[in-house]
Amino acid sequence: MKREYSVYLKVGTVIITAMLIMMVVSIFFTPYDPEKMDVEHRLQGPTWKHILGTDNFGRDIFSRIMQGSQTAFTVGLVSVTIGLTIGLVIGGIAGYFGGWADNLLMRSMDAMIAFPGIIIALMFVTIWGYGITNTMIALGIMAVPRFARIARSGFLQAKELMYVKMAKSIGVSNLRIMFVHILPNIISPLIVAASLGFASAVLAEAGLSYLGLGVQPPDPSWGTMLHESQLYFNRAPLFSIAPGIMITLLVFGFNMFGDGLRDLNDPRKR
Amino acid sequence: MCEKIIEVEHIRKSFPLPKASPFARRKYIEAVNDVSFYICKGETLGLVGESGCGKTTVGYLVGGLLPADEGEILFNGKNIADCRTEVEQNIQIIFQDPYSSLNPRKSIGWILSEPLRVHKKGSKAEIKDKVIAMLLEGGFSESDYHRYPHQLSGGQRQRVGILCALMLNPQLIIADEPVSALDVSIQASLLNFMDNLQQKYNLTYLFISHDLNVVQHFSDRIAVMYLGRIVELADVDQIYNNPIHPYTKALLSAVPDVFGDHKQRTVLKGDVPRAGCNHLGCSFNTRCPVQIKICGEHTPALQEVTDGHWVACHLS
Amino acid sequence: MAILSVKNLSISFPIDKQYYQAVDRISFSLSEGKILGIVGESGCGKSLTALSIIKLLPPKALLTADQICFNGTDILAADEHGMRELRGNDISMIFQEPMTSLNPLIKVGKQIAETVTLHQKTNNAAKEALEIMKQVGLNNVEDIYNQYPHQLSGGMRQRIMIAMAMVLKPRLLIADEPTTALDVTIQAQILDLMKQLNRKFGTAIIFISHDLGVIRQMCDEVIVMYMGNIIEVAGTEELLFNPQHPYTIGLLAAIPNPSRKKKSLFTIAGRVPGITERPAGCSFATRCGFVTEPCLRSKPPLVYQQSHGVSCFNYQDIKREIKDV
Repeated sequence: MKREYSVYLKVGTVIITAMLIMMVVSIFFTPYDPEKMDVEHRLQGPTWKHILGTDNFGRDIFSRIMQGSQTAFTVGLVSVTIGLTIGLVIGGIAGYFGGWADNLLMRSMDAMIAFPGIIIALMFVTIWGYGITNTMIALGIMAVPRFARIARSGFLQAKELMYVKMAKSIGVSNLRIMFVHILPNIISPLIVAASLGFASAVLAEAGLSYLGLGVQPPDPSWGTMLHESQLYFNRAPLFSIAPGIMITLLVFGFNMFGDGLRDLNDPRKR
Repeated sequence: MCEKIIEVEHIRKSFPLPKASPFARRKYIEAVNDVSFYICKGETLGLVGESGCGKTTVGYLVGGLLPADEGEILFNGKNIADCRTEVEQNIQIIFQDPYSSLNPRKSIGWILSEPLRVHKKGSKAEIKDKVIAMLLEGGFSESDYHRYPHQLSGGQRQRVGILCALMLNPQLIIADEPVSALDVSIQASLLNFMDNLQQKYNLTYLFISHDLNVVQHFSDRIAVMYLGRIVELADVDQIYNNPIHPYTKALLSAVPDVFGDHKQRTVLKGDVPRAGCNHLGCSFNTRCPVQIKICGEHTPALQEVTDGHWVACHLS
Repeated sequence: MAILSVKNLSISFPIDKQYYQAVDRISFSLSEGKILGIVGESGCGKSLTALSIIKLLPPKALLTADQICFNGTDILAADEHGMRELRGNDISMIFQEPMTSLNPLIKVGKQIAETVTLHQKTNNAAKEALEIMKQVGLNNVEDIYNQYPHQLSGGMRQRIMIAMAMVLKPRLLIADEPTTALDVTIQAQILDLMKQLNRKFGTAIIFISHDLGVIRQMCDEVIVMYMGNIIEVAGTEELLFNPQHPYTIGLLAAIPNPSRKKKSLFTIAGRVPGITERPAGCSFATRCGFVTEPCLRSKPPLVYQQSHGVSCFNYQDIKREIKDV
């Protein structure tokens, strides 16, 4: 069966790939040291030397944008990994074993969903302190219920299938059935959720950093840059617009990618 | 007397029904109700009955997939609850639906090697050799090792299911409607295949099916179930030529016959009642054409009427 | 008098922008009040043939025919509106799975009555529904009228389906594996019922099944299909006891037969080719033990001897050879 790759998927892949290249390049090379201040040339508009201008400390905005992509990807990746792992375990236990474990776990997930995510994240960073690590952990935990629900429904359906019964009858252990036999069959909705979760993690990090609760200066983060730039919007509009566009693009890219994957896995759209 | 590989003694199994309201008392459905039988080494015992009669549950109980509520199942004289690993290796189940019984994301080779991997039978290379040998035996080619279930036809998938059950050299195979989902011509080749395997490996089969023609062709003895109980158990020829229980008679006469003479048919009235509505007397008495007064009062026990012919009917 | 006649009906499906034939130029007719069986293995095109008569094929399917004529109406030329008039009124259909063919949220009696009001201006729809429910052997029809499908057993649901199909006394009933999902004792009841309705109302039936036993019990005449071709057609007893086509012979030999209890069953070699792999000549040539050179070149025509038609070049030789064995 030929699969048709949707426009969504193509657009998403292009954006994400471009961002990834930028992130990888920034590890080895940026036009300027992103943290080198040059007060004489602060808040410049775009010139040939600084194509996006400089910020309030005279740092090269383009370099900082490049460096900021590392933060964005790290935050996205780490928090999705945390959320996916914990969510998979919780959802797996709940769906596969059912009974009181299911009730207990899923009701606590419901309780978590009942709070707005950003409030929970605020609570975490308030308790444990600001900084990138705590932000990532907080965002990861926020994402757990979503992954847990998807994993649960997958395991719930799969455990009734005959191949699972067959595996049981030859004496395969429950753990092996869950992760070797069932998981590959239910992984695609999880991947879709992961890619959408990546986008919302990036957005949430930007939000927290904008509020000054996430990534702390001088670490470059697009959210932090937005926060710093707001006083100078009239003098150096690119200082605000550049990180804003980057956030939008990355989130848009991952959302497109996730939707595209979903369509790809939807047999009705094949 | 034969060498008994399985002895089932007075087993019961009930399942909870969903409650009608949170305060209602939970009701149970008696899927298997006081069932006893034995299987001899090397024979095929057919288990027939209509849907919901509990035949699949009996299969799962004997295969150790479900624990019995009451009663004992002995495998080679040992209670199966006490020898889990022995049961896992020596009793295998073949499932009905060849479309859902193979993991769609795994290759045929992976599926067939899983039992050996799990029970740590040999190195990677040894396992692969064994799997390929088995594939060739089942009429596949070596290249099928890397194919996936969706690339196979229904008959081929069911063959893979059978091969998978054979990987651990089991003594008993429980075949739960193995050919029901297949077309007649494929069904025939699969039955022949199972038959050859039985001769070659001296296998014992518990053959569960609703198709009386197939069961008759394939079995040495047949047990007929109705609403969780065995109502008649005898040799194939006894069951077909001299059925005693009125349900067996009705069941046989209801089978559309391709070859025989047109026979006098008894068409049963009404539906199979739901199991578990603890009603008095013989479970067949709501549909039985010949019942007498006692049938509504006492449940008939399974009794040996003639040598090896067991019937549960007051009128036998 | 033929109530239905079909000439050179073909149905094809597009796969990767190319059309492949699922049903290949078949012709048959059905006399008034008779029961015609269509038998064959899954994928042979028997259900598609039936669906094409009431024009309910999947939208992708391409239907061509020289003629599909029902009771003087040209079905090929009929538009959607005309077909809606016919369906339920003159031709109705029952399916294999009664649970999914009934609306779970509407009382079953209401569903039957609705079929009546769709086609007739009447205030007696409920009365007619109750009447037909009695006719299909349901007891306590007033109670059942107000029940929902999930409250009924499989056999009762199939009776409701039949009541729905029969309430307007159609001239033709198409039954697609109507008893396959049922237990044998219930199947026996439903088959009896259908036969009885056939006699009482003179409704012609096209009865599709893979079970030759059921076909024998029900049908006057049988069509055997293989890969979208009619390979043999004959009166039921004639077909079962004097089969001519090697496929029919093989199919019958593959069924466990109580009177010849041999341990090994006959099997037909190979497998049914996929729809994209249709052989150039006879569609059975890839599996036939008696294949000769002409079989590979052209499709054998359906040749009649009296009312027994066979689509095979060598059937006379095969008959002789099998007799010798």
